[in-house]
Amino acid sequence: MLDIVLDPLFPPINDVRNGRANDFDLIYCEGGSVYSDKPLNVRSPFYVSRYPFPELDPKNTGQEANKGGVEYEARMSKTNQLRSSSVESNTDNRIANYHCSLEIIFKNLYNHINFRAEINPEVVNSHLTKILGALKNWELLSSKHISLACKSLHLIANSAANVILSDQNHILSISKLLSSENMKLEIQLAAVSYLSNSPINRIFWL
Amino acid sequence: MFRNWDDILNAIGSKPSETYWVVQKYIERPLLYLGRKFDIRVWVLITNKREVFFYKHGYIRTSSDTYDTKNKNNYVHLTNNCLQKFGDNYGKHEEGNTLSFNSLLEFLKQTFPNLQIDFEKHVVSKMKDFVIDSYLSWKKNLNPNKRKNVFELFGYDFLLDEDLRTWLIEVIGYYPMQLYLNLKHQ
Repeated sequence: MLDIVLDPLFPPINDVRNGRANDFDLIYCEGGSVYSDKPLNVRSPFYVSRYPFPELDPKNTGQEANKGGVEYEARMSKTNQLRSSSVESNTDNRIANYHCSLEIIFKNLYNHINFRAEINPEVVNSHLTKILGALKNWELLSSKHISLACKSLHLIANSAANVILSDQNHILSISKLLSSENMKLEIQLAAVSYLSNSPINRIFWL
Repeated sequence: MFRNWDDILNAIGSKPSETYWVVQKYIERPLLYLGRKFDIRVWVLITNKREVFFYKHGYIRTSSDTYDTKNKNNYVHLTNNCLQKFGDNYGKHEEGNTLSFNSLLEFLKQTFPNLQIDFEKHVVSKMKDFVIDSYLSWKKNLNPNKRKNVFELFGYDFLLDEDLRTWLIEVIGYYPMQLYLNLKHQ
């Protein structure tokens, strides 16, 4: 960097480039740098997890709760102590709301689709919006409630009400679910079922 | 902050036309420093020779008030010095709401005693990844007049979440340096 700011016509008597720590790390260059003969790129490989500690990766903590539990619990208890209680209660309320509404939604959908003479698409559409909204924050849901949400999607996809699946907003939500990082297989399968039963898909096949 | 899609559309719809806005996901579970939100500011220097330098001595910018997602007060959620300095509690906890990397490292070690935290490996290297990714995404827009012997300095803001993941918040091309100079002086 000093090469840029030092006057090439009147160089300083004491060259500060010698014997002074360089506080700048060269992390990328395409060649032609005085700091590196070769092109340089220190970027980590893309397969490296974004979680610096495997113990804190939800994949591991969820599936191997007992195995990595000690450090995780130590972290959580410490973090929870530091976190204000209002944040906790706020998050808990949100989760509780999701849980409660998903159970009710599934029951209502089941009754509406299986036991009503005529299915009201508006009712199903309203439930579908809520289900997709909940799945958008699927990290906050328990396995049981993810399962309920997926069952609800399957239920709609395989019913006569599946005409509402072609709604553009719903299709967008589903495609976002499919492209989300670390998405659970169960949700992906429900999303695929959704898309394959959507009337839009039938148009493609025709 | 918006909680649903309609609110976002309404807010953007109310802005003047021909203006551009970026919508970002809010990180709901940031790592907190003594109950308050913080972010990490580092500097990156890019030369006309396409060299990208990462300045080793970044610093931490803390919020003045206790973190609470229910609290809509910006002083709780935004750690920008240009905003925080107008808050009633500015400087109450840390001088200039600023901390050094060493202070953060100490805090992390106390908070996660069972993890062998290497700040360079677990945090700085992630930040460098983001710097390179962002540089590659807009390098063609840099130095449009192909001037020689020039460089540009960027401020990168990062956030750590509860799982110690690093998130890039924003990149800016101009910022006041006085705070950093004060910190260096200490």
